[in-house]
Amino acid sequence: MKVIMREVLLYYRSHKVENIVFVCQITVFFILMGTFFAFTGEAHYGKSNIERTYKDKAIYQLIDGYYDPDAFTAFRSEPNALNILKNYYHALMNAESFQYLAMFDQSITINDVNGAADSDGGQLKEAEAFQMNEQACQYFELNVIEGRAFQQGDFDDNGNVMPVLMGSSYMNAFEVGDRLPATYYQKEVELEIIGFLRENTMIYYNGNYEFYLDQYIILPYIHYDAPQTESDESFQEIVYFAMINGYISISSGDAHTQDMMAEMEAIAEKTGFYNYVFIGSNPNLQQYRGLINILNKNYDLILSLLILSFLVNMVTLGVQAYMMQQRRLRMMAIHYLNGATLQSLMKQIVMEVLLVIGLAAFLGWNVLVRLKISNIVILLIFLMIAVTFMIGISLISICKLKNAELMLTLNQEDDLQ
Amino acid sequence: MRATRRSVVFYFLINIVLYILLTGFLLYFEKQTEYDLLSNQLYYDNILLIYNGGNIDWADAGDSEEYRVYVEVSQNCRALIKDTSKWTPPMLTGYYPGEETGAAAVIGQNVEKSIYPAVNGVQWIRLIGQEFRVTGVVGAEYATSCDDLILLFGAQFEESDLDHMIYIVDAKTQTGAQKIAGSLTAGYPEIQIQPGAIRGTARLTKSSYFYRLLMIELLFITVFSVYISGRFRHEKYDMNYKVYQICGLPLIFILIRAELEVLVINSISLSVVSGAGYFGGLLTRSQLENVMRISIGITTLSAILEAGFFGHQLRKLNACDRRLRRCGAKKIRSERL
Repeated sequence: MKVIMREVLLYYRSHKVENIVFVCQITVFFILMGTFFAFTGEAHYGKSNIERTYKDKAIYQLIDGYYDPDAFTAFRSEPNALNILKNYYHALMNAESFQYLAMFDQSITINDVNGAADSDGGQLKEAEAFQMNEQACQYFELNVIEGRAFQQGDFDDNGNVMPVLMGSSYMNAFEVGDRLPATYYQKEVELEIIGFLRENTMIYYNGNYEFYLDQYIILPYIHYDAPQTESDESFQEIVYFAMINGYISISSGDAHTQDMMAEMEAIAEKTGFYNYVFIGSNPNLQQYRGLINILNKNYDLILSLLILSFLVNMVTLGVQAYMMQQRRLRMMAIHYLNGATLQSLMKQIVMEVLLVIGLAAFLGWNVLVRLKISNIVILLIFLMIAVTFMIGISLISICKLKNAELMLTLNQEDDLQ
Repeated sequence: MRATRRSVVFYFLINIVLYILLTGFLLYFEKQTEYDLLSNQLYYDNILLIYNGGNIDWADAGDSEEYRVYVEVSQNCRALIKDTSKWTPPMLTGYYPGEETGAAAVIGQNVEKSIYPAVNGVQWIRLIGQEFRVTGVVGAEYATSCDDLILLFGAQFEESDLDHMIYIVDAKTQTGAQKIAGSLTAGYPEIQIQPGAIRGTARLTKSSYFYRLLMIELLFITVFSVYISGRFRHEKYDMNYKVYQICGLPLIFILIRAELEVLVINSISLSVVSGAGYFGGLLTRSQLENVMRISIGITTLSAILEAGFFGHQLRKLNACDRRLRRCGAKKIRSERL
């Protein structure tokens, strides 16, 4: 083994430049493949995300009908107003024929010690915030890159502490576990960061099927317990008024729409909240098809380029590896003439290939880690390509060695003796 | 000689493969740009939203960067007021009007279905109190995000209206957008500039980041491939060089011969790939020109490398000669001849 290693090192030393360039070439090949797989992964994620959210779905925007400030004040002054709102909201949440997605972009004021939220003046800053109920979070499958997503308990009333998810743009400014004093609908709360959303997380909001949450602080819509004070009651009324303005998602089709309308009437009857209005009652989600079409085509395009690139690079590398080994055969035959066994020569070939490809794969992986586009799938693909490549080159070289003219002649002479 | 011929075949094969890869990337880039535009309402990735910009004199805003300036009429309608980019969007039918074509509009396919049919072959659309002649439909055969879009040209606005409208600057590069933002803020302190949201494939697939990365990697892989294949091809001539030198042939002749070989192999490879691409309907004339440019780059690189290998070989031969002379073999060349 020692002799083989010495031989391998001698070979590398005598062909420094070519071997370095060859290692670099295979390294770049690995990086290229890794980049392609990461790119394909992003394209696939975007495509499946949109499809899952919008395919065969109709989304209706539901609002309360209290546009007139006097009517609004009159409703709030009713003694049972908060209970009506709470019952109406819970009935919407428990509806059987549709999913109720409560969402609103009410901004908050945060005491920004790190200076991360954009706004002017002092430490108190107006930050873009987005409120969502549990069903909306599940519907849009909010993914986190750090920390955790919302859980059922996060939507319960936990006093003044409110768990929040941060948009990806806050990633470098805060950490999971940080607490920020904030004002939410004029109530002092403490926001506890539980996670960071994946970059380019998007939802459907205000007719925009590509509403990105990167710049937002995501707050859960809490199910509040009975209010203790008058100010608490006023706060809850405002929050529940926001919560009953949301979106209704149903499967496409007239039958589903009729079921939803019938259930809405039943909910109104049961809870005593009749003043609701649908806007966009003929929801136009056709636009998403345009994006899906392009995303599909884009995905196919990237995939075909990946395949072309892989095949073409395999040909280039294969030809070059073959030419490099071809030159080695003469030397190997001389070793054989000097008494080296065929087995030791084969070991030497395998060792050379292993070193070159192993080093290239290692370097390539390190670059991908630095570029932050590495993941376990890419690592597995790397290993697969590396192993296939090693086996392929080694087998071809060994076959060539066995069938080399000089080797055959030497074998014949041995047989004659 | 057989070995030499085989090395030429390998060199030729590697060149073909490289040209296929580079042409594939070229085609991919054009397609990706088209998808990015179609899914982002025909915007590039660098959008500036300018509020309170009624006083801006866009004629003085400078033409050094490639950008377009629009006034936002509604979510799906905007009026072009300046274009320094000589840009044309993907058109389904008709043509994209320049700045001096009077009141004209290009529309998406959904809008086309909803307006009055053509009278005497001309369609009209009425917006902001003016009539616009429809010159074409933007988009693609499949549904895209710009099917509801209306782009107006030569629109006339009241000065009082412009004070409340949002200007949209769509720059080709990020640096360009930063420069424009800087110069506008310096000249008009009252304006507020906000970066516009990028949408569509450019954002969802991070295409511009990955494309840049892939291009850099491809560049490296091309250089390495050209280097290794060139070196192998050169090595096969190792003995020939010695023979040539011993025969007293001028060294420049050997170099010219090698460079000519590089040129011929590259030309054949290029002809095969571009010919197949062009006649197979994959490449357009402008794309073909780009392939030619790439091939000039590869041929130049190969020629430089060949000269480098040759110089290296020459130094080795001279060193060998010197060693032989030192050993007393002064007239070795003439004796051999």
